[in-house]
Amino acid sequence: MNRHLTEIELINYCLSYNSGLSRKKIRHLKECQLCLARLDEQIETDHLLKQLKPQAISRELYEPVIANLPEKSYRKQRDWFFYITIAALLITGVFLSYYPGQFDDRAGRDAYKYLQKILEVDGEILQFDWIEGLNKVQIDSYRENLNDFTSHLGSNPLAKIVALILIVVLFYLTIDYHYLRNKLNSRT
Amino acid sequence: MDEKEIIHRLKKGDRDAIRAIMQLYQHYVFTVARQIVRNHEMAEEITQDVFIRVYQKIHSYEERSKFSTWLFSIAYRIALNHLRKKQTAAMKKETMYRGDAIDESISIDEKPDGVLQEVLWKAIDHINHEQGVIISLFYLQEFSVQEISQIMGIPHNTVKIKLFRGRNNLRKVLSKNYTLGDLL
Repeated sequence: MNRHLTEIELINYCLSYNSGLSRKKIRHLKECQLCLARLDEQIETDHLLKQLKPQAISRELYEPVIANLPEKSYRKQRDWFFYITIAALLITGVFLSYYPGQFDDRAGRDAYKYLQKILEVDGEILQFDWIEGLNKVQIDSYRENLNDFTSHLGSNPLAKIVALILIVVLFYLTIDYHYLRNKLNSRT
Repeated sequence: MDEKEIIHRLKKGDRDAIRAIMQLYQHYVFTVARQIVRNHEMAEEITQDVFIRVYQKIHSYEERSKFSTWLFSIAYRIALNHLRKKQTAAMKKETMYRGDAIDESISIDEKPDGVLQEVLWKAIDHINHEQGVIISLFYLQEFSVQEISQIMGIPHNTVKIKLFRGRNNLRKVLSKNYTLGDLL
């Protein structure tokens, strides 16, 4: 005698997904009183549940829903920020394309050297800090180095474009995804 | 006005279209929400929230699946959130399968439809709430197992097993007071 049919096999049979049932299983189903009884119970309950109708609501819900609808749907609110972002990017792009300076490859190389220098000095700072404590004069000189580095970076138009795009995109993402979405999600 | 036209109007921001969509679905949404929270007032509150959310999010419905599948996914999530927020120990107890007989036996001698509905819903209230939700979705909206799995975010086979056990449990509850032959 085969094993009895599992719940999945029985429900598949009820739902007419019986293609997965092997010949052995079908033969078993025809011969096994227990499996047949379980199948009959399912079919009988299924017939009964087919008469099921939804439950009634006791009050009118339309007015409260209309009263709580937002002025505009969510997409329209999001578009507003989206268009501001696009406009800001376009203005930035146009402004930078008319910028009198031009890309200075040397400035990029210099910036890299400055970065290398600062990292080395920073290494010293860390060492110095751990062992003897910081000297104020040295900190000022390191800060000067750092300022030099940022001013080199600032003179590079490509770096400016990248930085501005990043700032605008981050602004958009922060306002739209963090603030607006959280606000909307908290309503439900 | 057919469903596609209503959705189109909703996407344009037509607030009146929400009435049409509510007329089509509010009782079904309420029934499913009630199965989850097992509380009439809370289910009405959820139903309101669902239609507000539908209005807000209608642009995210891309018409790849049935509108009703999308709508009930929202309803299911909102109802679960409400349940999590407001669930008390008493409600937890209520949503567990009790397997006992229906408190007061309702006479079904004449078997008008309303009485049969009352008997069935009282019995469904006695089974596990997930099984109740699956039975509601399967029989009221005639969703397929795949669609229910999509709405509830659970595997197909889990839906099948819960449907199977839900029917069995319902049968056990009903058979304490009635013979199924009388109800059919």
